[in-house]
Amino acid sequence: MKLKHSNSNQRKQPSGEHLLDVRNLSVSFDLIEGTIPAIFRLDLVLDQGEILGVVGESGCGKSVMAKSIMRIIPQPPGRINSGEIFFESRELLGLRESEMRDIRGKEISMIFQEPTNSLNPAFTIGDQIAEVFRFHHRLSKGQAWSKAVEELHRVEIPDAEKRMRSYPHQLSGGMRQRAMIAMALACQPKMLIADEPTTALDVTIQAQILELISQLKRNIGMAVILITHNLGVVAAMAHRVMIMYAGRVLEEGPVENIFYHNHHPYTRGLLQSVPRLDQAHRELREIKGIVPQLNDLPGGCAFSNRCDLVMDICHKREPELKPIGPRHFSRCWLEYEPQRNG
Amino acid sequence: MLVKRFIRNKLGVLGLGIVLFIFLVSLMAGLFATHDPLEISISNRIQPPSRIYFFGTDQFGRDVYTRVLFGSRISLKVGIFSVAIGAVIGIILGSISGYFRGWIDYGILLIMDTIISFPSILLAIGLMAVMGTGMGNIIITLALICVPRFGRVVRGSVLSIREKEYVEAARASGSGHIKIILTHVLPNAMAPVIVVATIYVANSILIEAALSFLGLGVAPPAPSWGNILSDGRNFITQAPWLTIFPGIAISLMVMGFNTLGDGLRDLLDPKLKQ
Repeated sequence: MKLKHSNSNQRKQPSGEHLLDVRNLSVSFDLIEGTIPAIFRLDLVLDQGEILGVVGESGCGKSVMAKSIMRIIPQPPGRINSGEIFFESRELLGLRESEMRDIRGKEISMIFQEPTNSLNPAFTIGDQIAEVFRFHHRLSKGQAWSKAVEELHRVEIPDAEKRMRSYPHQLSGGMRQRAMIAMALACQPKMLIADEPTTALDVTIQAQILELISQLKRNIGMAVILITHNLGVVAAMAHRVMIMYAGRVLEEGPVENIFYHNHHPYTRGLLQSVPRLDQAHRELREIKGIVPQLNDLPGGCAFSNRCDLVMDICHKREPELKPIGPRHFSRCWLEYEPQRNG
Repeated sequence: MLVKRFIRNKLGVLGLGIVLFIFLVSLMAGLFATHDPLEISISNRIQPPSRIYFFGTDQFGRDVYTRVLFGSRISLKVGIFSVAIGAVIGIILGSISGYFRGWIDYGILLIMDTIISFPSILLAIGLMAVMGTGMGNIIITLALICVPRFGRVVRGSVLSIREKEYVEAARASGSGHIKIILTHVLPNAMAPVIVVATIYVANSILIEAALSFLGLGVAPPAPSWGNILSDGRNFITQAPWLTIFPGIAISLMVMGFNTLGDGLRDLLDPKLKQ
């Protein structure tokens, strides 16, 4: 894999204060329709023990971002065009594949949306969890098995010994997701990427799984990137929120700011499109238009064709992500000029 | 659970019964035989079926019943070994081709499709003509014919399985490509392979019989079903038993393997899985 270290003249060395520091990451896919820029110049930092919520509509690049950090983007058709990913001061994109394999699952783990498809149907839950221990810690079969039982206890699966011998199809969705979490956390990773971990689950199970994740987070002290399109989940769990649109960060800030002092019209639109019980009289508002094709973005700001507050400059140039408060950023021309909309 | 479901499938059980029956017969051919399969008896040429010669005798006075019994050994050996060799090579090529895609996929596919594009019997005749008759050569030839068929099937399964989330999850937990192929992809791609195997055993047996019939297969006087059939074709009107009995044996074996394959396919069909 070749990497162009373009515009890295700014801050080449990791600051050391962040667990994860992603800079200027651009990822694209070469498809028949042309080159699709899935992620465009994305910056991201994550601190020890922090939960970062990543929110956005389908196809905004949330999962691509996660897979890029893990470096499991299929290449080709995927291509990492630029960027640096510092994890504990190590630059992941420059590592050899074998070094990366040691990091995956051990230091950075990932859980996926669909627990049914994320477990191998040909092996028992126990075999699959024990495998992680055997692979990363070179434990013997017996040791790995008893560690796996412990792990199942930790994710509160009842009858752990018995469940170890169950095949994935014999478990319910919630149990499967617990098993997935057990696998992901087996090596006590420093960072967990949860890619829509509860989307495929019942509401009651969702709450349990989220509670489990935050509890385990406290015990292990790991950092979490929580990818979701459910704003309620973000409000309950995250410390910081990143709003993504068309492969870009539009607004980023502490969770209270995003919910109560948001700046970006897209963030506002997202929040207004959530039904709320306590404001029954309020009209449910949608964001007009549909998500644009990534290879056919409007000129200037990517959100300009759907924005209610659009101005002339929005069609011409794309704004930078501008700091508007402590750890709070917004990518909008409204932050640059006095409001001139009518 | 799986066994119970298989037993409910009458045809599959019938196929399994036939296959097991032929296995036993070929294992204990010496026990059931009434004569020596190679013993020539000029005074008993072309005898109709009787109490001494159950299936009659051929133009050299050899007992057709005994020869058919021993012939099952050759047919089974050829069928099973050729498919086993073909399956192993086909699985390796198919999984490499389907998993890594790209130019290696094109290369392997090109070779496999070239082989598939020849009618198998024609290819077999050509190869046997070049290599010469003999058991080993037949097995090599039939294995070569099987390889692309297995390769294609395995590649198809692998293509779909490599996109499954558990493969991605395995990547995310640090597994390498070889490990993923062996532990995650292949175990989930085996069901169609087992079915194809049973069907190609039948196919190989048929081709072997055809080759022997044409004089390109197992060298006479060894009793292969194709040989017996070939010997009998000059007397087909005067002594139909020379062709009928080996013909029945071939049909029975092919039917056995095919119905077993169908039964297994039903059994392993994921849509029927609970």
